[in-house]
Amino acid sequence: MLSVKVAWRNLWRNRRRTLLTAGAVGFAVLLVQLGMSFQAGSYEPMVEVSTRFASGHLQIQHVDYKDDPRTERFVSNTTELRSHLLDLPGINAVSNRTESFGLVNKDERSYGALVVGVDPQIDPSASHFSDQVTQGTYFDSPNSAIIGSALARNLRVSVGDEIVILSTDVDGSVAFIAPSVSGIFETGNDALDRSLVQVPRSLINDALMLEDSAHRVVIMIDQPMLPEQSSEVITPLVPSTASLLDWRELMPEISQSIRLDKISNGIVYGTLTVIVVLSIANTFVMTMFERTREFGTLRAVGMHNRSIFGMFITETILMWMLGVAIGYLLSTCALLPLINIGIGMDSMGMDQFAGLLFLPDRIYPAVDLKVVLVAPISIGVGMVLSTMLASIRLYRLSLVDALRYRE
Amino acid sequence: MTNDVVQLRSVTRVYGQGNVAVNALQGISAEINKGEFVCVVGPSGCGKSTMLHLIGGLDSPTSGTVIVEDQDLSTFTNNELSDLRLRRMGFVFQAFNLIPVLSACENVEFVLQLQGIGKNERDTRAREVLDSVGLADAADRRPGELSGGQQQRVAVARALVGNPLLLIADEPSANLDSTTTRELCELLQSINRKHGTTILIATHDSLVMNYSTRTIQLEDGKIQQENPA
Repeated sequence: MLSVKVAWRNLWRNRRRTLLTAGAVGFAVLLVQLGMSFQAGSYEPMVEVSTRFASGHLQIQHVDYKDDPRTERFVSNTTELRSHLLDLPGINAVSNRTESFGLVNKDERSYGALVVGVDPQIDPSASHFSDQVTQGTYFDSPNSAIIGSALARNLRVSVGDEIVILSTDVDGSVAFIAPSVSGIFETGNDALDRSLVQVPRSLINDALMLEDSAHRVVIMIDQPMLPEQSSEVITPLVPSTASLLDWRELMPEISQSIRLDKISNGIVYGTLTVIVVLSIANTFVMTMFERTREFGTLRAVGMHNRSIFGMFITETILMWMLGVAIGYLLSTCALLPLINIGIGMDSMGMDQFAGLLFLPDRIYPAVDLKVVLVAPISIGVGMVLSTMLASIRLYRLSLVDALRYRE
Repeated sequence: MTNDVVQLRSVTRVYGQGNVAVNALQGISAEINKGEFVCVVGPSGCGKSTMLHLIGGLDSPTSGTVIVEDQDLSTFTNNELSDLRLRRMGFVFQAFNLIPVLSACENVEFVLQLQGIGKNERDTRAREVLDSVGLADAADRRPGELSGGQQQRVAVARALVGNPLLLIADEPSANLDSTTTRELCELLQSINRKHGTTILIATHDSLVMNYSTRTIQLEDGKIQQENPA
């Protein structure tokens, strides 16, 4: 215990230097934890929002549909399949969707669009579209449609107007429906608002002669960030002509943007850690020089090199603990209010970017074990390595030179 | 088995190489017996400190043999030399060399901790030794709060607390005034007489020499004269 006491008191021989070093560690911990907590806090909402506007967490679809979507590539008996899926653990919603690319017409104007058939009573449990209707209502009859705001503007369509949608059925024959617009939605995502029309699935299935079939059986699960867990239990129910895909395969741009974000931020955090560790290493090397004669004395009175090294490591660990404590204190002060109020994307001028990446309006930091431990551990390892490097001099030092050393 | 605590046999120590080589010791031979109070004297640069460093296992001779308690130090590893210093020797330095962040008592205790002695015994023995050097009241003060003489007494206490066979002091009075030097020498003399501790001091202070039982005079790395007091 006396050597711990010596190590602790040694830290305070130069109070200002110790506080600056511990402050640097604390500040690095704060920065990394803030950054990582916002990262952790943004991914799940991003996935949640994007999947509810598009793919869902998991999908069962015809094996060839993803690469070459055609009307005749469908999954049959979807009502029965849905009811079996809902019996499985960890699944909270299943929605069958029919899709077809078509030409949407109003008077003299025509625009290409993706026409999606949904069950209006069921789909809101798997999708955000019902909440995004800014004009009119979300389906008021079996022959109604909701369309994106940009498409409505382009077609000069208002709520109550009739539109004609031309497509091709499973035989390749021309099929058409003429629903009236019950609502106009605005998601904030330009691509969706410009080229998406939703109609009741019964309406489009009749027109395309698809009966109870669907192109996508959309599944929402309790753990969207761990889709492989649910995949295991769903796979036995997947028809032989179909495949099960998760959101990472269905929306690779989202998973890739998450990966890119992790890599780029990892580089930033790594650089920050290296800078902090190098500055600490510099301090340790200086300390080694300043205390050369003291080490000579300790060896002269009979202390082994390894014990002196142990004392140094103890000092480093105490310094690290002090810095991490400062870092945790600062992080707690910064994160506690932010966990409750979050940061508005518009306040950072990122509302357009947020729409593009399906980010929510506000992001909230999320603190998990990784956020808590990564910075302290990586800085701690760096500090111990720095101490070991600085200590090499200790082993090379002649005892007589050490005793004669003058600062 | 001899009565010699230390034997030097044709010991040389050369620092540096070629044109810049310095012959600090040039083939000296000497013995120091148990219970002696020996002063190594001579002008600055004559090799006094080098001789003490070699005897203390702090340095190795270029040639020749250093024997402490019938053991050739050249056969010792670094750790074995550390253990020898810890258990059989005590060092007192010119600049005191106390650990500044520890109190006088803790500085003395430190040696006992290295010896693996428990907390309570450490504390008792450290205070006893400080009491014997007249510093009972200053036990809890740090070196920065003590005078030069008091710091040197703490250094002596630290050197003595492990009951060493040999106490080596390198210019212990260099930073002390004459009164304090006299007090220090009286202290060392009483330790020598009371406990039979062999004392080896490098000095060029005639006041210190007066307390020795023998002096070894060095000049240019050679023993010029050995005088019993």
